[in-house]
Amino acid sequence: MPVFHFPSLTRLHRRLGAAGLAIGMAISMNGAYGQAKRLPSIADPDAAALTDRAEKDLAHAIEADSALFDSGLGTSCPLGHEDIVRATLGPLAYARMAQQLKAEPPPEISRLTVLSGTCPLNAIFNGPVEYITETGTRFATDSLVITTETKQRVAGVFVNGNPIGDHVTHRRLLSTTFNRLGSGELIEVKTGHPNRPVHSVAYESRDSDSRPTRPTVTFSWIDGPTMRTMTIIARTLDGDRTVSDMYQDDKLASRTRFKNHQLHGWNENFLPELVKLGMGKQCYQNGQEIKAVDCPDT
Amino acid sequence: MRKPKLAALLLITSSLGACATYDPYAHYTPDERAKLMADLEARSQRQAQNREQLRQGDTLTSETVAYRIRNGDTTPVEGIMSRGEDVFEGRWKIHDDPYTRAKRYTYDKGHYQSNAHFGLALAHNGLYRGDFLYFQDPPVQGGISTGTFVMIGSFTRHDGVQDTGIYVAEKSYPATPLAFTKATPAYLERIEKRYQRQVANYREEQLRLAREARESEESMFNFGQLLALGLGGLMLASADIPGADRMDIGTALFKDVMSQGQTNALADLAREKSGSYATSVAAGAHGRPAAHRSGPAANPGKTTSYSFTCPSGQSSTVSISYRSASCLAAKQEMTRIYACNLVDDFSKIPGLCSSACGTPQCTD
Repeated sequence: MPVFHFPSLTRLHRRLGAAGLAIGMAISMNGAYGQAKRLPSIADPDAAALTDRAEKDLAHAIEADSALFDSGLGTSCPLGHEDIVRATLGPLAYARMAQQLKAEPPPEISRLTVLSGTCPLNAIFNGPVEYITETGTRFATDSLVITTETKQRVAGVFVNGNPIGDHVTHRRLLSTTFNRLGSGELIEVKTGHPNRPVHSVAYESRDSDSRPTRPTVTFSWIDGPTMRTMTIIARTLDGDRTVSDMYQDDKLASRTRFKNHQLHGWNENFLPELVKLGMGKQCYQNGQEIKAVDCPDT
Repeated sequence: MRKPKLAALLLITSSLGACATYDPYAHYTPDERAKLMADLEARSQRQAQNREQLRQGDTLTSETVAYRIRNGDTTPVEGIMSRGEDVFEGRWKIHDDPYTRAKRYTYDKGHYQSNAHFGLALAHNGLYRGDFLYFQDPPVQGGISTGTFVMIGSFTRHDGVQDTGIYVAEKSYPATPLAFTKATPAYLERIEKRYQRQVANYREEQLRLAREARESEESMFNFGQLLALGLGGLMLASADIPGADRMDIGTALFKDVMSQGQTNALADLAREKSGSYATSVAAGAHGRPAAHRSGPAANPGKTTSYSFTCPSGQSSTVSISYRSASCLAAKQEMTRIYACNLVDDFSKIPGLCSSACGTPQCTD
């Protein structure tokens, strides 16, 4: 399957605005679109329907890398982390998650840049908008420090602050793990594999009440030692509950159930190495692990 | 903004997992390797020092309890003993290993402080206060055999959040910190089946104690009712947990078990006691709407109210679910016998239930 399709690339460039155009020009000029990033064939109709598109979008994002998330191309919005989260989630989703969000430590870095449309007013987006978020977190134990730099580029429409219609999210995640010595010195963990960013593209669609109209599918290009791709299909069962299937390459690796964004119901692992360790499934109720025979997800 | 976190965690664990199968320092410079190895050594020394410091506070040691057993003293003993980074303080009782017949002291009543973690507090870290029971796993050829701890009482998490219920720590190695997880009554039934012989011995012991104490029994909660609840009830029967908690947990457990999922009392109790943090369905199977069940439990049958009066004159009404009229009759009789504490009739129940419902505890 050819990876480079000029018409689809043009559509993508249009969606990505000026940066997309610049990237497209660079790609066209050097004439080498990079190696094919083939996504596996997954036994899930919702993922399968998006695979061709995701393959092209991911190939483009990998090629463009940081240039796709260049905040210098837009207008920086002077908002704190909480307001950024409120604006990007929308007030409806934010209200559902407020309690959990407050319990989380804020990231070290949180920035919002608008590429098209206007910055949120009172933490509310309105109309078609394209924006970039940059988040930097640091997770530390006494022997490890994990830093994560996440950049997202989202294009979609907001009405009364809530996302509606199709939203496409490009994501670049770079996670670095350090050994933390007693002296405080950090030495980066070296596994023999280059520490490359993970690129993802997510497709979601919401109705006029901001409820998902179809499963949200996220394709990630890992290219790691244990898996090449990861695909997550999140299905909303009702307003509060979702079931998330995660594929490692073409294999269904786990099925996770959530209620109000907390683990709720059986968390099933299908990978033989985890099943062998007795970790085939765990029961969670409102985020808490429970030893149970039946595990309600309602 | 939320889903990337799950993805990030999966990616991180995946990449960390990949480096566990070979020399972890293979890709570092000699200088880095030396620093990392020295740090690991210093870290394990610090850990050993911390454990030693904890041991200084112990009032019991494995040597002193071994000495007691050697001298034929198997009466309960009070004391403190650390377990790695964790500590148990309270009463210890003798446990007969069903496989080797060896005797050892295990936790009975008191509190277990769970501290062990890797630099970041874990969900099970905190203080467990209540009654403990230990079951020995079968011996492992050429390995160390494990066991299961069951604890019933209260849990105060490291961040102060409180909860009440049944907690289990399975596949626990000797002298290694325990990782308790909250369990549903249905899961406890599974444990009961796994350790059938040990539970039977425990039941006999509790029944004997109940008969001895029957005349002076002033407990707010009826021992007969507790026996109907299997292992959880048995533990409650002898629990030293505060009276109100004991009655609350027991009553809720009884309602849930007897109504076969039509009530959600234990879950409601957990919610009351611990606010928003509590599990919505601490009772597991019993809290799940019947329509979502699978297999034989998919048809919950009917529910009826059953009123009865005990020889003592005390009247009660309970809700009973059933699938067949014959099983209902057995359940009613079981309920009456247990609730009225008719200890001499307890032995009739397994036969009655087995013939009417197919199980010795009338679970149709």
